[in-house]
Amino acid sequence: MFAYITRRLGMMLLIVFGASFMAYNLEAFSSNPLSIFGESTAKNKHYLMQQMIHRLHLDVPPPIRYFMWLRGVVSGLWGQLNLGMTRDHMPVLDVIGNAIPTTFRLVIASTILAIVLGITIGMITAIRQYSRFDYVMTFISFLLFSLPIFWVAVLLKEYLAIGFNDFLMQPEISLEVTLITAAICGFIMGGITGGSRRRVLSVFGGVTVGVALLLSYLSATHWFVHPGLGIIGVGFLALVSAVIVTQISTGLENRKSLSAAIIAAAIVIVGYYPLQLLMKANASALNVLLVFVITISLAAVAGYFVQNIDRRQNIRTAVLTALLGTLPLILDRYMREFGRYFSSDAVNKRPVPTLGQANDLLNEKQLSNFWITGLDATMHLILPTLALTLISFAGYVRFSRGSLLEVLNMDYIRTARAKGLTERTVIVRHAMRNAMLPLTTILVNDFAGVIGGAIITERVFGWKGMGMLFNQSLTSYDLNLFMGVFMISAVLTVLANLVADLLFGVVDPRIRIRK
Amino acid sequence: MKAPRLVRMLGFVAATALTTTGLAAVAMAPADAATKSTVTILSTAPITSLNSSTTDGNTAYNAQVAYMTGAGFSYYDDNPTLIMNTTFGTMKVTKNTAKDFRITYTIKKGRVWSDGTPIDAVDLLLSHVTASNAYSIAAKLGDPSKGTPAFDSVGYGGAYADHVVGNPTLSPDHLSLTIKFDHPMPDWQLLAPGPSPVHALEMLADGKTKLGTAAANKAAKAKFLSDFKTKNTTRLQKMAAKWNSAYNLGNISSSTNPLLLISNGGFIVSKATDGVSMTLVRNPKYNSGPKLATTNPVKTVVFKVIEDNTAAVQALRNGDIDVYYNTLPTGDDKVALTGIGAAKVKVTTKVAGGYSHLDLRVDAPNGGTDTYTGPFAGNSQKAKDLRHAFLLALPREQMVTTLIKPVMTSAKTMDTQFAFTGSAEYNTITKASGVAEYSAGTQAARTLRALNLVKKYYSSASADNSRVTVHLAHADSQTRRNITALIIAEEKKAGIEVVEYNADDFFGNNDNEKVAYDVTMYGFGLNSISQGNGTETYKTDGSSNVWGWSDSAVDSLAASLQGDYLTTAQITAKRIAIDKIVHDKYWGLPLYQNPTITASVTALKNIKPAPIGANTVWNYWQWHY
Repeated sequence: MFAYITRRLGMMLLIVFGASFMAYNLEAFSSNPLSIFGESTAKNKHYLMQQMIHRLHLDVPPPIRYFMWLRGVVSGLWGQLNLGMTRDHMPVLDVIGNAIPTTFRLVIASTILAIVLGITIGMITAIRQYSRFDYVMTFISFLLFSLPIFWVAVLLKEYLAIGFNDFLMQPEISLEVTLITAAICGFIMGGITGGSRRRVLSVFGGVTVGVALLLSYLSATHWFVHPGLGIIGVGFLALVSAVIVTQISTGLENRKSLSAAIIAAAIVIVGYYPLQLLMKANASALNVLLVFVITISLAAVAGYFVQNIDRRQNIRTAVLTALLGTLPLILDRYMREFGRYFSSDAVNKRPVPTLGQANDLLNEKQLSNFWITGLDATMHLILPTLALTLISFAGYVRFSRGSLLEVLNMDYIRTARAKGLTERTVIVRHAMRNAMLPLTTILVNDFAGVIGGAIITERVFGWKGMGMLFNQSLTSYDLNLFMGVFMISAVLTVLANLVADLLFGVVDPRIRIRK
Repeated sequence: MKAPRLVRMLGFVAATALTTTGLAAVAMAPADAATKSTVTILSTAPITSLNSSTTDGNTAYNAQVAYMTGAGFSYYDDNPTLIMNTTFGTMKVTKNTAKDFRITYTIKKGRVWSDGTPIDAVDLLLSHVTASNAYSIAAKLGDPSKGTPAFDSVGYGGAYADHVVGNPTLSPDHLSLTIKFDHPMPDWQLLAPGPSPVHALEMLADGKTKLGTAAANKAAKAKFLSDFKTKNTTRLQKMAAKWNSAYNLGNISSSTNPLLLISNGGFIVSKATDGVSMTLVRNPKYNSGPKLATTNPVKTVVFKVIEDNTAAVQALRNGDIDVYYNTLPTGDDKVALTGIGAAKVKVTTKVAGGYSHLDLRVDAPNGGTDTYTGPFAGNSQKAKDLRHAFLLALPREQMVTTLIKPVMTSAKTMDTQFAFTGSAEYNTITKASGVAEYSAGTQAARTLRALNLVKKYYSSASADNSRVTVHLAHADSQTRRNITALIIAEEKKAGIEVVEYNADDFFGNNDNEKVAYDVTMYGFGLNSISQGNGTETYKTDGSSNVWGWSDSAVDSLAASLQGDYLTTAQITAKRIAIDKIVHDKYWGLPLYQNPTITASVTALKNIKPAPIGANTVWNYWQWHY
């Protein structure tokens, strides 16, 4: 095992060296920093060109210049890593250090969303293969897969930022929109439901009427400018989480599990008012963590005492319910801050921005309010996250669908069914776990790719992350910066490959890494 | 029976929520204050440095911030005219002889930096350090013409360095500075030194991170004066190191060293996120320039970086930015912007300081080692006739009509590089220079003349039989690709085949000079209006002359424009004389002045883009809602 890893790391060094040499030279030969002087009418143009040649060592041929750069990288071995300075006289390391968290913030939510949504939908379409839902999702995922992100971004900005902000001026939903939205929701839920035609129709009808009522209520109360869930909304969502968690984890027939989950939901509901004390304006991330710790630990205790057998699964169900149930509680707290955020000078009643990382006009008082800054960050994340999720989740849908279908045709699934296991157990315990195996490789590589940045997304949404740095390094002929970004991506990609291989050995007992 | 239960549940939720929340709390709350006091301005590239005088920091984007945080002796308005900022100080010629030309700069008493330190003429001395090659050599800071000087300044090697004599002299009260030159400087007003907070630079060199007391600031300024006079190499080098890179801040917050933010402009930088935005707030001690508006004034200015044009237009529509500008606009941009509606956004189109020009190669470019042997090489009658033919068949009006007018309806072809289109001098020059030949009659007639000229040497030439092939290189852009298509089509009718060579970097380093092009098309940007403008383009081995043009008469005219103290009439006469030779030798033609679009929210008053200088921010003191 050790020898294997050492060998792989050695290979990795060679690959990164070769790749960086090629990248450096390709970039150095293809760009000409002096061209910016072509349009200059400055009288001291020759002086300025000489200065640039000196500073960027343009008089040294690129293959040799590469080794001047490499010296700084090799110095990293004795802790003096030096990737050089950018054209703006900033250390490349610092610039990249600033950009990585930004990129991470931009991409992490959408990556997780895309994975969760993609795998969930993919698995549902596999279970309901050739259903209406399957066809619709297949169509939608291929459609989204083929859309260019800059165009998706333009549309999202048009409707969800400009259009939605205009809508907030008079936040009332017309009857047609209400009905159409409700019907679409009904159709989707009906599609997911299996079973008799009557059951499908009743789900369709129920969801349609429910959504229509909800939208009418939201519209009538101008909920969109004064959002909030209230104790009722939070309670309802907590109970829904209880049912869903139980259904997936142990099945609704397990009454003790169900009561553990419902008690967990009740903890959230009872805690609604007391917990607000922890979530004042001057709260911090620590307070939020504390809220989670309180609800989850209470739920764990409740799970322990529900029944003296099967304690583990009861605690698990209760804890998961408390975790999911506390989310609406936090969400509600954010929502109640929205009114003030919305009508502040900085926001000027247009809360959804088309771009940017944060509102530059928030004043000191607002910046010291944990909820306002969180809300602001969320508002700026909505569109890019949605855009990235939409275009990347299709891949997961297709992959997990295919993977699960393959597993479902295996002999051991038939055996499991023949043993008389419930369909839930067969799918959740036997099929899904095995279907996830090939996904690990993709997941690890995708997470590595995340750091490389989303070049176009960052550009159209005005985020300064790794993608923007890469773009900037190319447009401003910043070779050191280019190589800095390149090295991060290259090393991460190679490392991710190694991690994926090792991980595969861990999760799949059939595979063993031998020397 | 899932569904009915769900319905019941939803109904229950809706009913309870309705009763608890109630419909009462739906009135829309007004915004906190009655009027807006913030302006968010588009920046199409990151603001990288607060020091726009270093070689890399010298960008239009940094210059806008520098302009708002630093007032000097003059500025350009939107006409563009150079306006003297007499609130700050005055400048006048105090001696004017052939070998001794002196200008005295006097700062008005009582001007202060944002930290309260009085501004005086000592603050002008750094400008000399960063522009005089002789001083840099004498103070052992490196010879800018040979190596890398300690101060990585954009100022060395220019007219100031070439003609300044000795060091500037201070008046006893330290409010005036006299600079001596070895001959009369025609554009002396443009050579005015800018003030720099030298006391802050001294303290930065000492590693200080807090604003000093009044006494400490005074002592630091005195220290600078002595370091300057004694040419204290060690100290100056320390200061240079700070000057070169300490101002490239990336992120700026309340923990940023306040010494770096000292300003004498109407605004002062308060925070910044690297490459994303920069926020400026009012400088409460500002008294170095025109008074800021008092009714519904602008108190905060944010520069927001958006590199993508579509994103910028949408940001304007959504109110994420208040001021949008585009220096390479297309007709589509104009349509999108005017589509927002005049009630919300005011759209202004205007000519920019930049213009596009098309030039024919005659010989190897200056400094180049290759020899040029293309169809336009040399000054034989044949080469001149072919150049003449090419220029005659150039569809300049069509370019303007199809590509520039959709942006700016008043656009016209540009007929001389010496003056802004539409100015009085422009009209005088173009009437006399002989350029009228290229707009007389119809394009069809001119193209026919061109064909006849080509036929003189290639009798079989026709629209279907191109006998001359020329390579056209251009600095790549969509507009230029479209223009090239028009040129190819029209030149073909004159029997000339144009081969397009589009690249971002056809000029510049030695490798690319070897590319065999015969015609170039790109832009020149003007950042000042001076007597010497355009001369570097036409004189032999001028810094902008890459076509191997050489003519002794042009050289002496150019030398006179660069170095003689002339009246307006004399200047115009010399410019006409140069243009005449240019047209006699068929060197090239200017095409059009680039249009720009500025769009600002209608509620914000007095956004008037200036073609040169500080663009939209030149009159920030007049802005109000």
